[in-house]
Amino acid sequence: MFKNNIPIYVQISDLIKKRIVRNEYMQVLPTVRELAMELNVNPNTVARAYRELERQGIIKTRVGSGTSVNSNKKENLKKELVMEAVENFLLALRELGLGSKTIKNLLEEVYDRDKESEKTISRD
Amino acid sequence: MIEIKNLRKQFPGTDAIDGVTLNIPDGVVVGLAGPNGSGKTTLLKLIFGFLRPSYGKVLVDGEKPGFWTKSIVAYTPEIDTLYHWMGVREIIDWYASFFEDWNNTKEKALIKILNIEEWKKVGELSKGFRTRLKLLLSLSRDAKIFLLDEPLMGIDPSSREKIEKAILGSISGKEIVIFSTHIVKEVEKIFDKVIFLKKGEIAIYDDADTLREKYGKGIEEIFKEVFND
Repeated sequence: MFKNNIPIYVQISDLIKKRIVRNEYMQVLPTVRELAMELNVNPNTVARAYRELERQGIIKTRVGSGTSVNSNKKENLKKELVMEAVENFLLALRELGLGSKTIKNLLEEVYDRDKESEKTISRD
Repeated sequence: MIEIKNLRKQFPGTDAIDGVTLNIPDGVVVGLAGPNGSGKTTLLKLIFGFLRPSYGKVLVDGEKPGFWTKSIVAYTPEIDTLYHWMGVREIIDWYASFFEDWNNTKEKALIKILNIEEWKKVGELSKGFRTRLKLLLSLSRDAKIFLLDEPLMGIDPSSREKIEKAILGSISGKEIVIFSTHIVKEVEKIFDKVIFLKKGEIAIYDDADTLREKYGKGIEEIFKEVFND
């Protein structure tokens, strides 16, 4: 599940960000040890990811009450991740020589097609 | 903590370890990687105290390897050291009675994770399962340092995750684990640090994630690069 060429702690912090945005962690994050066992990685690597997220203000660690999501940052985090995905998507298409107009038309085409297939599914 | 300074080990005709200096702090899992004959086993034996340095020194928690350090160091040799005529359960009980730091809870958990068949004779186990049993005999101890020599020997790739789980689940985070291997692929994510040993010398000793950042590659690819010339 992890790529070998990117620091594992970076990949773990990205994964945690996605889980936070998807509301998989309501308030409290798992302990370092729990997450390490789930992901089959070294606890030190998870601890490093937590430190990184704490530095970015996304999570807070308090002695005794564990690690929790900083709810003030959650909306921003979601926006950030969405924008990042959009930018990457656009970049890939621009690299293929597509202009904004073509991309827009393409998106509408895909949207219509998805709507169509949704209809077919609900009919079944 | 393990401190190694200007360590040399000479055998007739070769320097198996040729001037190694490194410090390993507590609480890290270290991958000791290198091709066959690079000195991995010799280094582990020097840390454990099976071999004495020709020059230089090794200190384990400030002490030279000896009777006292053996009580806090668990060593799993690569070679098949188990008596084949013994029963698996029998051998586990024998080890448990031998080591004061034996932890029954860990033993039970490891039997489950590693699917150890307690009712069999050692001789009836496949090579991979004998490796698993050896691992259980080390990891069931509450040792401060675990030296595992090629714990993936004979383990098929699909079972590697079990070995990783067994190791990660058995440590509290304060221990040093040194895991020697000539295969880096698929296990590299459990390493905090890696040592690349090349002809008895250290080619690389660094944090695994720092290396990934520096090279933009996986440890496996860096390993190939270092050992290909």
